Amino acid sequence: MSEAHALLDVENIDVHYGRRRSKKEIIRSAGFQVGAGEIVGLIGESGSGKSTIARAVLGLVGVHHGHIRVSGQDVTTFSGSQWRDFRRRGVVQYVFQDPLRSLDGDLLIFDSIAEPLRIRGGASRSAVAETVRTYAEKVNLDEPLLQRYPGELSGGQRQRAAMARALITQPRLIILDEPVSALDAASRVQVLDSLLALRSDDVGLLYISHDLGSVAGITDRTVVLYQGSVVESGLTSALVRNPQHPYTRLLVGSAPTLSGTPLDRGQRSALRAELELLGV
Amino acid sequence: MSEHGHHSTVIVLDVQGVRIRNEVSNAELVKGVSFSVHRGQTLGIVGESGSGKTLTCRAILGILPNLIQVADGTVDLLGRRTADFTKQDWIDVRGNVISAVFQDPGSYQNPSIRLGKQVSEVLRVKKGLSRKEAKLETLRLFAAVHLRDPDLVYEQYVHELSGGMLQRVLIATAIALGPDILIADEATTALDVTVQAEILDLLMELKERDGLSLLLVSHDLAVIAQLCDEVLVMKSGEVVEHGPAREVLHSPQHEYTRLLISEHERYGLDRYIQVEEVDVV
Repeated sequence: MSEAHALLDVENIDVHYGRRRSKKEIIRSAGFQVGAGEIVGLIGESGSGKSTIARAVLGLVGVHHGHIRVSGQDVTTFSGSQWRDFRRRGVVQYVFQDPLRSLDGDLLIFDSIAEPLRIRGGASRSAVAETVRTYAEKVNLDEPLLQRYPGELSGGQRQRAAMARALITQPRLIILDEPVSALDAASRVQVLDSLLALRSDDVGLLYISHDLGSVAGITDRTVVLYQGSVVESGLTSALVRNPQHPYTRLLVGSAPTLSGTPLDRGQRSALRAELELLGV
Repeated sequence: MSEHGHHSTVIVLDVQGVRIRNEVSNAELVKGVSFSVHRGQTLGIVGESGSGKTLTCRAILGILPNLIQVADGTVDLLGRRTADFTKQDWIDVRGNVISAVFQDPGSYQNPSIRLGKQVSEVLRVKKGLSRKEAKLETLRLFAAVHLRDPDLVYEQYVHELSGGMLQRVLIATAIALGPDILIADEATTALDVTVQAEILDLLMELKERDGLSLLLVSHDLAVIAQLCDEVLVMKSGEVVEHGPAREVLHSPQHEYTRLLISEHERYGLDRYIQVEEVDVV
């Protein structure tokens, strides 16, 4: 895909926290793209910098080098007022791991989903209600659930409510950060089903997770992040079947399947030693 | 049993007809669960949240929440009926005979005491070791759970460690007194897959080397497949299927087990790859 058409273009970014002696490089010249209609997985262990990249796209952490473009706009040069305007338009939406924390516990699910529309203004009450119902339906959230509080819903229902709220602004890019990690198997399937149903030509999805199973299950392409750098990326099917970098090989080789793990204990510890030698 | 099964015939844990009831609503939460775990054997329990997996574990450990009671059935630990245990019996048994590791290791450690102290304290109180002996034993345990720098970890606090490292500290604590059986309730669920593999490898090592019995609760069928000799499938407080792991996971009899497996395969790695196909070496 050419860069001109990339919905999200992360180009060689560096992010560090602290300064001088306490300076810590979190992201080192990381780059990847998400095209319209695509689901791209960003996978890596905790501390690899996955969420930092997401926060950089949202303008929540500064980028020290490189560029991030969303629909062709370079957000790394945005002023404060440009960010406010950009956020109000809801071009990029973010879905967190734990919807119990990201949904206001004192608001009915209906009001939580409607909030972005009310903030934007200009829609009548009945139009808002109609839109909320439409989006709830898109994520398979039954109408009676809209009149409940987040605490009265299951984890999977809450996560689907959070997705409806993200969708209602008609974003171009949705970033999902570990959306199914806190869910049991049945809710996980429901949320991933809804996610796949949302795939459309105008929206790009960046799916962040440490869980290779769900990344392999729903993404078109996968970007592997290890210690702040992109060590491998490509079509998910190829990457899972034939991983190249030692970390990706360890990742795929550690993942349990019903027929066992691809690597045995000895092979895994050999790969760990190889990774330590690499030292990045 | 399966090819894992070089376990003995000593029954470490025997659970018979256990029913658990909410005293207030009178609802039956666990409706008659029976199984036994032999020395060196690994039994897995799978089921969705609310199926009664964790309540069963807590009943075995004698730590059910208030107003939730074992209404019927028996739990025997090394042939002793836990219903007859005094407070002191429980203190003697916990850590020595039975131990547990749960999800979210951070919440089981004291944030303001150095990690080494938290483990060596247990050894001093329960094993009567001296300060120096306890420290040496703690460092040995930290090395045994593959913490890379035991001396450093000994001096660290909870907030300085990653989830995987904390889970290892918790396992070190759980095995410090050489228990006969370890309950691991979603113990690796929150961990990265590479770290999870290291922890599971460690549990297998303890099982093979020390004859540790394991009761493994997980919603991840692949984890169960990797470790367990036998598996128990629970749904709404009932056991719907129970048998050798290979048979249950590869030719499930109950409709619910089939559903769990199809859900797993839908978005699991299994959907993509067969182990033989992967070229990682």
